[in-house]
Amino acid sequence: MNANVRRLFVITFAIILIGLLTIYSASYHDGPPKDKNVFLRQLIWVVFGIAAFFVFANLNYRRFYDLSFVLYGLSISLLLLVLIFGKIRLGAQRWLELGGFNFQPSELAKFSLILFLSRYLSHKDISSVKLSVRDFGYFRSMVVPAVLAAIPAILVLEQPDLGTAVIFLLTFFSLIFISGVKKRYIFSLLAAGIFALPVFWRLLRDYQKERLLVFLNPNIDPLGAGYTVIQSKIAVGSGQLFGRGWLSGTQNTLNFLPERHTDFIFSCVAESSGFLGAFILLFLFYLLLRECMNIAYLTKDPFGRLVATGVAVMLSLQALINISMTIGLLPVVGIPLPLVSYGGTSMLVSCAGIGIIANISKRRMVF
Amino acid sequence: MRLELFSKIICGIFLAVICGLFYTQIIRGAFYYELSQKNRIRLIPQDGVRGNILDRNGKVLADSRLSFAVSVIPQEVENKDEAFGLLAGMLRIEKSSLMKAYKNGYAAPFAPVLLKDNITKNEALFLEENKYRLGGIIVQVKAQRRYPYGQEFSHSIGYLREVDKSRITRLKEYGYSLKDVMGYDGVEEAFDRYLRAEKGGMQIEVNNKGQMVRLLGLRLPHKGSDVTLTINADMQRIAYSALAQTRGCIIVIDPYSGAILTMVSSPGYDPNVFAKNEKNEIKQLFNNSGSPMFNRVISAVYPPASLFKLITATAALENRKISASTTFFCDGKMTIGNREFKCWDKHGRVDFNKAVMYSCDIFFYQAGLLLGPQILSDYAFRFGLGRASGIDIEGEASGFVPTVNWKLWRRQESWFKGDTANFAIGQGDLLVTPLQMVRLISIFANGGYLIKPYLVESAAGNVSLDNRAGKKIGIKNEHLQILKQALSSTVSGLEGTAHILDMPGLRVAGKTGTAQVSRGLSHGWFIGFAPVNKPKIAFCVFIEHGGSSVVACTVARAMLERLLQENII
Repeated sequence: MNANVRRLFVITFAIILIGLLTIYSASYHDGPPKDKNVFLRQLIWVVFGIAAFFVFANLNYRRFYDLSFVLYGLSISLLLLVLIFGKIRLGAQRWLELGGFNFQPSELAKFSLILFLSRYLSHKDISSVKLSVRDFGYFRSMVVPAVLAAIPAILVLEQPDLGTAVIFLLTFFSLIFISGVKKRYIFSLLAAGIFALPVFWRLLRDYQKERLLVFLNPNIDPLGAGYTVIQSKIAVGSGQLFGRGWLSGTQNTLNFLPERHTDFIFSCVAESSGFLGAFILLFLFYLLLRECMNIAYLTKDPFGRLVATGVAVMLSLQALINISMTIGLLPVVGIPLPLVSYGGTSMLVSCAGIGIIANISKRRMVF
Repeated sequence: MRLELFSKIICGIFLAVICGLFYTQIIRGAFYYELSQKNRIRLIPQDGVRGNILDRNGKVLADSRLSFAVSVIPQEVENKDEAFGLLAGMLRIEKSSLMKAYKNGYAAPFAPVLLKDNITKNEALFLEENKYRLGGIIVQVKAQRRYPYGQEFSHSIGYLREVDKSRITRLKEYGYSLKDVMGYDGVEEAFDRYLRAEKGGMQIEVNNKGQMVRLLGLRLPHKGSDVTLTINADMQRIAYSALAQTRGCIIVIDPYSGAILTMVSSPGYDPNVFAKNEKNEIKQLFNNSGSPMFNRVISAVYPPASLFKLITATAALENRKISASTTFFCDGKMTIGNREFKCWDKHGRVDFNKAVMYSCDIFFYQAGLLLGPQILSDYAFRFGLGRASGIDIEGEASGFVPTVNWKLWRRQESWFKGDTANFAIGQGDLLVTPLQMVRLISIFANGGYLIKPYLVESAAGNVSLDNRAGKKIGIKNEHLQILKQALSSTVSGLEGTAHILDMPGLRVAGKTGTAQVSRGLSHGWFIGFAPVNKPKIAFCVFIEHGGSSVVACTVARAMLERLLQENII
């Protein structure tokens, strides 16, 4: 383990630890029966997650260059399976039942997309430090990757999962931006996207439209869609500077806060540990991002650089969007806080992703 | 390089989110903290028991009894339709009325909603026995005001009602809130702050469904303080029955202290009607032409008529306009100015004693003319007319004493001799309350003191002794004796106007009055005291449109006889 990898691991572990403590706190008091054992399950996922980190840190990431096609195909098929056989929870069809646990293919799809786009945008030839995209025209540098991203995005939108679809979209833009696609290409697509917004609006489910409207004014529906945002803001705000103490925030322990160990876990952190705790968590995510970007910067392999950036950007954006929605800066779109929110697939995939970055760091001397 | 630019963009987003957190947690933190407290804390009030009202011998005039009410705790009932159906069957009432009560009363899932008030004890027992079939339905025991005497005490005690809008704006800072029950009229109103129970309550923490999680604080309600009255319940009962539902009033006081022994106004009302909240009967009370809600003793004003002659007489003696031996000749009429003034009879030559005894108008016309209006007004004020006595309950009228200046300013008319003559015999613009008249007669009973009547002996164990001896009004003792003698003759003399009150076992002294009114029969007055030598009681009997003072004297006799029979005086 070089210094980069060690730092990467420490930061990741610190974030996971905060998550565990918060999940314990959120499920400590009597709640609905399903809340019981949440902590223990998450503990198991954390063990698997850390194992995945080490496995992927020691697995040559270049293999994913070849595997990415398979992974992408697998993800798309799984997403299709979800739509057909998926389990409906909380009004959405996002999970596949595999043995005793639920698997969320959209989490896997996020990584498959990063790998696949990274491969598409770079040469297989390790000796070529140039990105293939420099030679592409508009169609090959913009339209093809856009379609590659749009396929899983449309599939998750059907589940319906607006948040993940947005993440796909942002990942796509991040990768083509970093890979050096001509700026006018990117802007032209953005402009087209803006013009397509009304069409997009019509594709949204009623509840998604409602959430977006409620985001603009949570008080239009204080007991329905606005309830979560209002309660979440109360939880975050009432934490003030030092928080109300572990296990003792009233919003959290008295059940006022819905989805408090999944999408709204940050509200629990902020309520019990205040601005200080919230800042520390956010800072850890920043350190994680910086570490990943550093690795991306240092590596000479374009594929590795794109993968490292992609993973880092995706984790950071999810964290930022998640936190923003808990304080009402963004609409509630159902994005988990990576490494912190309860959820096995997300934990495994996030750890694996960071593991891949660790491997990129290890191998950068090879090139 | 693009990577660096990209890093900067993301760092910018990080900064923006931190600013958002800072705003939410630090700048708006206190506001959200407040909201989180409101989210989880609920207050549930608990009522206490109101203090009792007792008479001077400790007899209960108002207390609280247990009443049973059916309530439902919403969160504990699974099938409301079924439970209400079952309950309606058991209570033999319509299910829809239960549903309506539930809808109107619902506040929170854990707070009991009152479904039906005042169920009988048997119904309550039956419900308790069938509790297992009625999950979530509870029988609550509440305190309900009870007035054992009913109508006799209506005006002196008052009644209870939910506080109205005008009172709540006035009394908000004293801790009264909407839906509170408070005293109206009488002692219930005037001493509400003593009688009122100190409200208790629970502060509980609730979860997102409003279910109680734990008790944060509890303050037990405290019973209100007892109030002891100066009233003698037996005497009051007798006085009310003596009035026999005619319109009028009786007040009996201790002439030395001013303690009110009896205060009845007829017709009265039954305060229990309010306690049970019987809406139709309450409506009837307020629309009744007999004005049962009106306390005639303190709130009504009438012309004092011949009762005022006592003041004219005293003023004339004090100012040496006449003496005990002065005589005037009464031939039934006299001319003052260019108007003829009549006496109610032809009395011939009358001296002072006879003038009072016969209530001869001519004598007092003459005396009044000798005095002039200014002195008459002065003496009227000195005897406590024209202003409230300061009795310790609400609603006292002050009456009215005319003066020369008043007539000039308000009516732009000059004062004529005829006005003086009318004034001297208590007619004209003069208006008094029966309470003022009993103060007037007390002065002759207690040797010259204007007493302040009071109804409450002690509240919460505290005895208020302010000015109980009364205020000396400075009448010479010899003049008081002359008048006392004359008042005694009024009853004992064969030709005295109140000879009907000359009865064995009790020497009564007093003065009659017949007040002519512009419409209807005259009012009848009698004020007196007994026994003459060492007065124990001073009293006033007033009969509205009774025809003459004879009715008042008859009622007074009936009352005094019963009092003697029952050994109360």
